Amino acid sequence: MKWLKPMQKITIIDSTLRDGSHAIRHQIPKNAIEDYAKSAESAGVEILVVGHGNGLSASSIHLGQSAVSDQEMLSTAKKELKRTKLAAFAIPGFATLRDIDLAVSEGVEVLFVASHCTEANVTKRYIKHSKVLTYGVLMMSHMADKLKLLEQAKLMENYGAAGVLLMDSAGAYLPEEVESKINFLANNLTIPVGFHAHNNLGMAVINSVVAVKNGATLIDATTRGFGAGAGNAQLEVVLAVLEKLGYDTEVDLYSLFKGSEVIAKLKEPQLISPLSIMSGLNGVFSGFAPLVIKAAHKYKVEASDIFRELGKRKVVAGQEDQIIEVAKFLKHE
Amino acid sequence: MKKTKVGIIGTGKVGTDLLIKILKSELLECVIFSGIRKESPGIAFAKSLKVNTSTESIKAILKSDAEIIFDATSAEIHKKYFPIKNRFVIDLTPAKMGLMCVPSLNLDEALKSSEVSLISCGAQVMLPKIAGVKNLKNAEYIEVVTTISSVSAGIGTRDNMSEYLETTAMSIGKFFGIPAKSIFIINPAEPPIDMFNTIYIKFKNKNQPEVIQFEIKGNGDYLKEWEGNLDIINKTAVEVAEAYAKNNNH
Repeated sequence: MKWLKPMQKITIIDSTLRDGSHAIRHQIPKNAIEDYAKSAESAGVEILVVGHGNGLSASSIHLGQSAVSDQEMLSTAKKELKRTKLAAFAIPGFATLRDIDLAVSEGVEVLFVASHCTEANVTKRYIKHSKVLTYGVLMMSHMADKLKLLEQAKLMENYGAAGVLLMDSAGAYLPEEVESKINFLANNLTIPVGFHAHNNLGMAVINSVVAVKNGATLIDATTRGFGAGAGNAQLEVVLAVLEKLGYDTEVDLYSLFKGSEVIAKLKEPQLISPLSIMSGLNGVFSGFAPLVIKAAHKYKVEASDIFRELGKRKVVAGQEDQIIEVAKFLKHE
Repeated sequence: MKKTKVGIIGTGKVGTDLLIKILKSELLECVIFSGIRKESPGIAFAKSLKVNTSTESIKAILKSDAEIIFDATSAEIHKKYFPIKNRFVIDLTPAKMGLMCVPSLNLDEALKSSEVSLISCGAQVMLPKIAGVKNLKNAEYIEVVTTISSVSAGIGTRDNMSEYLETTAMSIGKFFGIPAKSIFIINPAEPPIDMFNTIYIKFKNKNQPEVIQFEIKGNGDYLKEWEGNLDIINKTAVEVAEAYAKNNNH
């Protein structure tokens, strides 16, 4: 049966304490980091990513300021981890090489270096500079076709990336697109390929499973789907489905349920709000939602219209200042 | 008035655009346009305008009688060949060996030094705006965000991202004594977007930051109009050179 490839090892990247930060405006408290890291450790999660939603040095007026500093978030998680590797996320343009060194000095063992899906060469210095296991990440990957993605992923491979992840930052993918792109990358790269989903169109879990079916061996997800927009692929569900399909993730589901309780205290269950649907439909970065609501209120325009206009302008992650610009533009129209 | 002789090292698109701006100047005359690549489109373009060119890089510059030298190469090359003696150097690379200069803030001081650094495109667009903000003495933190189009972000810009962030933030600290953060975004949309800038200023005792947003369009001399980030550096370089020429006209 085509759907069963038993015992293939899948590496789980747990981004609960990174992408989840978007869901509560980067206000994850220190004790939640501590408690969640404990449960990730006891569940045997391989990689735990911790930090501001946009990674190192992204705490800013522009995107939202973190409640806890980068260094403190990392050191807090590190104290609870033995088997589980602590990871940091870095976007060149926010993070500097110095930020990476600081993160490594706090005990980071894995680094994710991310760029917009067509701009991978900005990661060159960062990937080469890193002395820890480093993966490349192509954000907003719905905006490029599979040939472009392969070209960009190969750049990252050449710089020394241990694997490349496609991020569906806007939650815009349907399963057919995941199949086509992941399959193409997995067949044409020598390094592992991964997928990071968002649930804006309700496809996060199925997209993650389809990615695995098509050769992805790195799956990036979050407990309770805690993340930007309508959240990410819900890690507990992805694990259960993969287990049922005969894949090996080496993560203990029951221990992870304890982590789910930690997150439940931070945020009510994430529904797919009309704004998240607009984000997915228009291919706009999921993390924009809170700032879109704020701007819509301030300038008395429709939040959905802001999303539509942002989509038209093909804005990328990090262009949060365009939200104000678009709100003003719509008001004057 | 006699024109002051200048030389340009670096024949890429920045150097070539700079050449056009100098050819338009009533105070400056380009006596040498020097690079390393014979097949450089910039060299061919300069030849077509009857400009004296060379592929002997710094050698040709040192042999020339140019009083002002513009360096439009890269930080690595700049560090290799500079400082040099008895010339006024305007460094367009991010090497920042010379005195950091934003003409509207410290031109007079810059003209007294032997080498001027134009810091970064972000610094040249942001600092004059920041200087014009009311009650700046009550500001406690500044954040600057620049978005440029993918086609106007050359390999140099991409390879030097980390240094760009640090230098731009540091220049705000140096000129205004206010802690700052710099953010840089590249957008691949077609047609290319113009350089878009946002400044957030957080004042003491005020919750909401002041937000200033503006676009920078280039002249479209040799660079495209959407390459405003590169155009601004060249405009600044010519401004400094013309001021030097006026001061030192003999």
